[in-house]
Amino acid sequence: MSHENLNFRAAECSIPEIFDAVFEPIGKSGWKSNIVLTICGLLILGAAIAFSGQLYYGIGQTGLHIPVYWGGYIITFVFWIGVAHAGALISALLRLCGAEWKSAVTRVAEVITLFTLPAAGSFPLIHLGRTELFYYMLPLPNNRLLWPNFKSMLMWDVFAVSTYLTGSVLFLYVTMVPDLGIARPRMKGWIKTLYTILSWGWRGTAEEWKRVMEAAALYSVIILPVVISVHTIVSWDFAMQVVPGWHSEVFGPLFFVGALYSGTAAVFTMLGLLLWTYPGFKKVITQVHYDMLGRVWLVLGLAWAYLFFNDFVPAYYAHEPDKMDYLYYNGFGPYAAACWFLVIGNFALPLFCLAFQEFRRSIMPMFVLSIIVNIAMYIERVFIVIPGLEIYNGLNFNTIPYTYSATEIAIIAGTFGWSIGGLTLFCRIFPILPYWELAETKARQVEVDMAGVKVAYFQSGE
Amino acid sequence: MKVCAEYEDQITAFTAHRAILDKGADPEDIELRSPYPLSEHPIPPHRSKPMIMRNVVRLMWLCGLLGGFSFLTFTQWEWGLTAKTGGQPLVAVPINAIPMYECGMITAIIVTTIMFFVETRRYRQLVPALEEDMPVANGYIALVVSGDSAKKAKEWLDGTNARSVVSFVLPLAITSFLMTGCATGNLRYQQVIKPGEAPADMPAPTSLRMPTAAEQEVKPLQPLGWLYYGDQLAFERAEADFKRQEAELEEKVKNKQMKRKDVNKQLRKMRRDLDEYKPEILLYKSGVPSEIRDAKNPVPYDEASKKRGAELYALNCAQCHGVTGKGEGAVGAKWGGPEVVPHLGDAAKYGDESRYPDGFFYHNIIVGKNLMPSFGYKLTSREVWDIVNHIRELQGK
Ligand code: HEC
Repeated sequence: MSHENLNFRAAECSIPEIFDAVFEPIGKSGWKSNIVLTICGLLILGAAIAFSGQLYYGIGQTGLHIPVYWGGYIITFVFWIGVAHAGALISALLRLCGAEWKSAVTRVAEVITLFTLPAAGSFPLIHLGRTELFYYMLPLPNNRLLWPNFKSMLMWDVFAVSTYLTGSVLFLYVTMVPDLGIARPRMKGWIKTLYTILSWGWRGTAEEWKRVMEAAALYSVIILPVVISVHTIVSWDFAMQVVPGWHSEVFGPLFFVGALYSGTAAVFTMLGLLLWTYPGFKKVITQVHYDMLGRVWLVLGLAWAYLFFNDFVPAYYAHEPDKMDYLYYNGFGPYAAACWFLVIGNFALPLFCLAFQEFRRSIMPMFVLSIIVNIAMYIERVFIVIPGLEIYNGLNFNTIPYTYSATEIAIIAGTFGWSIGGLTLFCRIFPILPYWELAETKARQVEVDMAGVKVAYFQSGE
Repeated sequence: MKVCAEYEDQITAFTAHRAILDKGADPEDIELRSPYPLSEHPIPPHRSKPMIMRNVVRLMWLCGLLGGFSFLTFTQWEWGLTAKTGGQPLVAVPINAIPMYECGMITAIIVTTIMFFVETRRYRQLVPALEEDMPVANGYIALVVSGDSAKKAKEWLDGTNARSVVSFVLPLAITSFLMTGCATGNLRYQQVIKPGEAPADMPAPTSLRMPTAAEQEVKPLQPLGWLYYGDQLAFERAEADFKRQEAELEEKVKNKQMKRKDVNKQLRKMRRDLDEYKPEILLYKSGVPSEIRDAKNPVPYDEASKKRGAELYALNCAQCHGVTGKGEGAVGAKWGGPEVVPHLGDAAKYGDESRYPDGFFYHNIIVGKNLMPSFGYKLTSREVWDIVNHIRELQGK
């Protein structure tokens, strides 16, 4: 990790050393991850209790009431869906672009998707109130000749989220098969059995590699449009309603880019934690990875800032009455503090900091920034859902403002427990860094001496 | 028997591969195994069967799209509710594009996975031998020679810069088949009313909708402020209980049966419990605000309005207040009839417009009252005034 060398290089250690670094955490437990797992387990338990309470007593346990009929659950749903977009962007888009440096971060991103997407998907079900009837949403033949309402945006969510979930799980699995097959002989105990079963007799012959690359390319091509459709459809949940602050044409791209922005932030949070827990990873995740991904993050931040302002600048220009009410309520009403935190935490701070290479290359500041951005992104989702409903004056009366109830807080905290705990457990059982991709990058790197400077370039792959 | 040589990088491995081919090894018997995709693919031509994955996925994607579309369209006509719409589909056909798109995508994803496993299956044993796997696991490239060529392979491979060359006997491949059965027969079919056989007197479809321009012209009287939130009756009952118990406790202190300190502690707890019952905003406790009470009904008392009012009354109020307004609706009867649910059609009482002006009804409908729910969130102002007109009609105005 030298500062002078700014062009990207593969890990600065041999392929067997990469193996040792990547598979070091497998099957081991440490106090750090034990504490995290205990806390996460307690959170999940709390959520289970709160949820059974909600099932028993009904949806009145939440703070929801007319006209604020969408609250914490939907906000957190949108938030998790956003974080789950990291997987698609980083592994699919970068894979298609043939960016060599993607190899260190692809699986981290995919695994984030693996755990946050079920967390997201559970919220509409919890929000149903009568969750036991969720199967009404599946197009099953039934003896009353009733089908789901295909006109409903929440129905489209079911289709989109389940497609994305299937896609990302299979994508993750198929690209992990080679790793499991390769590592199998060197694992011990039940992990060896697990790897043997999951790797399906992987042998690593040229024919198989060809197919794994082909499948990965196909998944990437399929997943990218799916992921766009997922968040666009989630944005339609709002944009198709006639509520001030919701009914906006720019919501599709705004949600999508915002999701990528917060997803990338989540990847940085995860990378920071990984480097803290497993210092051995520092050999393979270098400052150059941070720099490159930081640039992507910066661009996404800029794009998101543009779309965000694009959402209300036309309304402001035209002084559209409903939207102006909404804007003043946001900026100078009861939520003013949160609103200005959003502006600082999402635009001013990150866009300024990320412009500096020194900042992008330092692990700790990037970690802190990623957390600030994700908090601000959560607040942004609050702003999308709540104020529009609270000031919705098409009805004959207003009602008391919405607050999260204890049940909602417990369930939301439980999904955080699930995601973080799941990621921690995954790191202990499966390789969180894609060994074969790192090895491939290493094997393809050729270094030449150019006027005394060592320059790395990569032989093209297929 | 198999021979396995281990190489540190691609170039030496390719060289060795070419070398033993030149020496007469059968290309069928040689296999290069690596921990990462090699930059060349030294697959002998007769083995590299063309990959059909991409084309199958394309085809199945199309099938998924079409299948999804036909299924969704089919459901539109088979929907029980189409009886209400006179056989029209409930969902505009273009809307189907969205679920249909996802159908195509999920098919493509699943087919890719299946094709991946099907196509690589023929290069696999269920559990490969560990000796073969070890070099790859260690990060090296393995050149595995089996079959007839294996006999001579050891000496051929010795001079090729291999890290090591080992030969071993092939273990029995373990194969197992999982028998699965499908549980069938739990699908039952019941005779149902088909669309088109629906009874003729089925009411016309109604649904939530945007107010029309004419409706929007009748503005709400004023933003009514806060919702009356909580159960006033329960609170009053609890308050009475509290007063009674408080008096009892005071009595006990006076008779020296209990200590002041304990009583105070108990009272504090009881007061906290009582607070839980307290309705959050008691804005309307004092009755109808005078601006609303004295408001003039902006909707003229004409046939059209009375007819609309009658429909809305039948939908929203009749189950409690009864069709004729005597409190004889099914719910109303269960709750105790006219004693609990007011007799709105009573000309002597409610017909007295100085005591019960139109604004009084308007207010009660919008905010609700004790057991009666509020309708402010689902009726527009004009609809409320229409209902008021209908109530006047019931009273024989
Ligand atoms: C769920 C049953 C129910 C429904 C539906 C209902 N009401 Fe009521 N309504 C009641 C009850 C019970 C009361 C008596 C409340 C009290 O005074 O404690 C009441 C009271 C009223 C009063 C006030 C009478 C007074 O003297 O204070 C009016 C006016 C009224 N209802 C009109 C309507 C209209 C118009 C509708 C339809 C839009 C309607 N109600 C729907 C149950 C119902």
